[in-house]
Amino acid sequence: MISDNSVKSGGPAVRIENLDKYYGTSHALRKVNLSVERGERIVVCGPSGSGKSTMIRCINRLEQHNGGRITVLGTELNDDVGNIDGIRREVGVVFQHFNLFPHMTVLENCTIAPMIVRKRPRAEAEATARRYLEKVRIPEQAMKFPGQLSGGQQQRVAIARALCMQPQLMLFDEPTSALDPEMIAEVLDVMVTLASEGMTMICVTHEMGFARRAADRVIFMDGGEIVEEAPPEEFFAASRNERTRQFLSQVLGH
Amino acid sequence: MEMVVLAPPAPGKLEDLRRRFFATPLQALLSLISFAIMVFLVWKLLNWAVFSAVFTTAGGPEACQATAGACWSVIAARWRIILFGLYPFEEQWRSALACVAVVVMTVLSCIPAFWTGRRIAIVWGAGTALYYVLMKGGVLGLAYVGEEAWGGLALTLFIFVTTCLIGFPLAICLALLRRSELPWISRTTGLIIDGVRSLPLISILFTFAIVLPFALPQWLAGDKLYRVILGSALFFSAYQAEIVRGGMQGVPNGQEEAAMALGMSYWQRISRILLPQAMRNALPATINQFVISFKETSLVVIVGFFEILASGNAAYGTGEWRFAYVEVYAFIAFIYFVFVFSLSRYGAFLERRMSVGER
Repeated sequence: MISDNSVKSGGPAVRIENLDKYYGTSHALRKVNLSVERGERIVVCGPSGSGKSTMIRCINRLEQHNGGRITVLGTELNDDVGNIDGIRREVGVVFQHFNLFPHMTVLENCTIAPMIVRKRPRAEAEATARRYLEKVRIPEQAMKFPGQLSGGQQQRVAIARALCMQPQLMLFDEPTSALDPEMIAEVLDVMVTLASEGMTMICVTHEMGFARRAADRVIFMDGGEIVEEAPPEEFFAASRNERTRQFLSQVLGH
Repeated sequence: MEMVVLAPPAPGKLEDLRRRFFATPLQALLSLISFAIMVFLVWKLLNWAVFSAVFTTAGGPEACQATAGACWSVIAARWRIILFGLYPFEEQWRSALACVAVVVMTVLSCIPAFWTGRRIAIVWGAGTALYYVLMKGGVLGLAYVGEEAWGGLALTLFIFVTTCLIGFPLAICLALLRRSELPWISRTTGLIIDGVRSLPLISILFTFAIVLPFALPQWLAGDKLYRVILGSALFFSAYQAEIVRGGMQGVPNGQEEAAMALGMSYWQRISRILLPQAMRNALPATINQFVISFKETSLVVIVGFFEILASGNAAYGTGEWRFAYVEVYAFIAFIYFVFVFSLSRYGAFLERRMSVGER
């Protein structure tokens, strides 16, 4: 079981081997291989439809893969429901459209999963929630409903909600793509702080500034394959790959 | 100095009246005619219902026939039949208490403070048990009264409340089964729902009351009343299941994904994330369904139960009060109105409460 994994330190946080994923007849991921060490920060970029979101959604079974092996925190992701639940408890996800629960206050959004999944007492869950809301710099919004907050605030609540489960790994699926430009910075700042504290992170994003500041490794995907992976300095300065250079000129070119 | 800009002053009451109803000569004429018609109708109604009406039973039916007004004395003389049907006269206080028990139970379960599994179970358990013991008797020194003698308002309320208590959870189960990922489950459920919905309620009641006893062994068939309630609950659940499913379709996929990503189990996702939002979406249609079901309880008369409308027929149908049927129906209409109107007001309260935090 996954609960022993924190003990079973060593070994990568995520290991993906020969991952295949089909949507009907379209081949979304083609024999993808990727290994992410504990404490490593990865940025995944690429044109739309390149399979980057699909790949990270496979890591906690929001999408079911059709071939290959995924091992998360030492546990293999297969049809064993116990394994899936165990992995989901340890992996936090931040979505493009926040997906906060609109019928609950910000505080309830942050405490429900620790209380009913981790069985924490309410007082403890609320204390933890308030600590993380402080960390994402919106402690004063705790009693509001998500609909009363701006997009940037909602996304920071979503980050706090994921952190309240005290995950060992965080997945970000285009966390700033649905935000107005003036709100992107406040979310990225929180993510940079998180990265600097040693959280293992895999971020699908087009924010190349964030990749420069926070990533250990940048991965470029196209057509369901990993085309290139390199440390950010190397990736931005001296990419050897034609498709990468073309993509970079499009996202950085103006 | 800062400039203070004021909105133009609102027109006064009289000016507003003039602009709305007397702007042109033709409009003024039409307004006056309509006003005169309204005054005439209200006067006629009041005259019939209050000024010329007979309220006491002192003069008997003859006093009523002498006046042009309403004969409310029929209610004073026959209200017990309307409210309690054929229930034994000396025991009718039990039927009245049973009505109170059902109403209290319903009101309590409408109060948000009672919306925890344990409290609602206690309220419903105690309410239905109290009703059953009071009505049926045979214990605690209460004389036994069989279901065939139950009637009037007490029966109407009992059929409505039990239909909802059984039908609502069943509807949620059907709605969840219908969205199952296994095609044979979702298709079978869909077939059942569509099957029940395509039958008239009367034929379902008839089948459960009359036909089912031939098909089932004696010990399983139970009393006719409970079979009828089961049939009516099944009918209710088929409609309500589609309402709940519609509500679920209005909840974005991302909600369930977010709940999964937090490690919640299937039942946690359903009960904490999906259903609360689905019920909010489905609320107006749900209240509508409750209102329809309340009024449809009158159909049980065809399988031989004297609910309030049938009891009303009996109340004026015997000789001397035969002419006063309008007053009896007006009284019954008023009772229906009180229940249905409170139901829809409660629906409006819930909608306001649930819209907290919505943009």
